[in-house]
Amino acid sequence: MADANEADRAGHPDPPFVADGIEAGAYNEEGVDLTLIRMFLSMTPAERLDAASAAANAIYELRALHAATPR
Amino acid sequence: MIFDYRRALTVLAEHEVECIVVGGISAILHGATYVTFDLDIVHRRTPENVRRLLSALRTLEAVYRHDPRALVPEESHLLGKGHNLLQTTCGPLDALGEITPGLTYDDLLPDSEELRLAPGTSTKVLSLRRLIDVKAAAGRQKDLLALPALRATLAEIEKNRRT
Repeated sequence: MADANEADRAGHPDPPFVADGIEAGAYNEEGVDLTLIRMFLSMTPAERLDAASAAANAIYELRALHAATPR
Repeated sequence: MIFDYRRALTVLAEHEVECIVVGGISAILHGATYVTFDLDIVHRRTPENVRRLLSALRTLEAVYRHDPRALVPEESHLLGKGHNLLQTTCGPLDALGEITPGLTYDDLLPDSEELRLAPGTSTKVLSLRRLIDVKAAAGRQKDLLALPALRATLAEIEKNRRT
C-alpha cells in the first residue's frame, strides 16, 4: 500500500521544508520576524490585549524577582 | 501591579468615554508585536466627556503616578491639553489631552477605527497608518525603533486584504 503522505505529496507537492528562518524568508528586509506578526494577526483584538497584558505582567514579575534576589 | 489592558478599555467603554487608543496598545490592537507598560488614550475634552472619563477613572482607582501624594485626577486636569500620567488597578494609563502639540481627539477621529473587544463592547483605535505617521513625525528614538515592526504589520494587513 502506498504511503498516504507520499501519495498526497505526489498530488499536491509541498515546497521543501527549510529549517533556517533566514533561508525560509521569515524576516523582512528590516529584520522584522513576519511569523510573529502573522501569529498576532491570527488573534482577535481582545486576544492581542490579553497577550500584551500577560507579557507586561511576566516582565514585571521577573523584574521584581530579580530585585528581590540577594547578590 | 497588575496589567489588564482589556479591563481598562472595557471600563472606559462601559462609561461611554469618547477616546481613541494611541501608542503601543494601538499597535498591539492592530496586530503588531510590541511590548508596552501603559495604555495611552486621547480623550475628547468636553465637560460631559471629561465627567464620564472621571467616573471611569474612579472605577479604575486612578491616581497620578509621578506624585507621592496619590492625588486623584480632577475635571480641570482632564480638560487641559496635558498628559495625565495615572496609575490604575489595571496598570498605568495615560490620559492625553493632546497626543503631540495641537493634535487632539477631534483631529485624530477621522483616522480612527472601531475595534470590537467583546459582544457589545468596542473601542476606537488610531489607524495603523496614522500611528506610523505620528511616530515618524515625533522622531524620538523609541518611536523610530518601533517603525520597522509597524510598517511590516501594515504590509501584512494590506497583503491579506488583497488575497
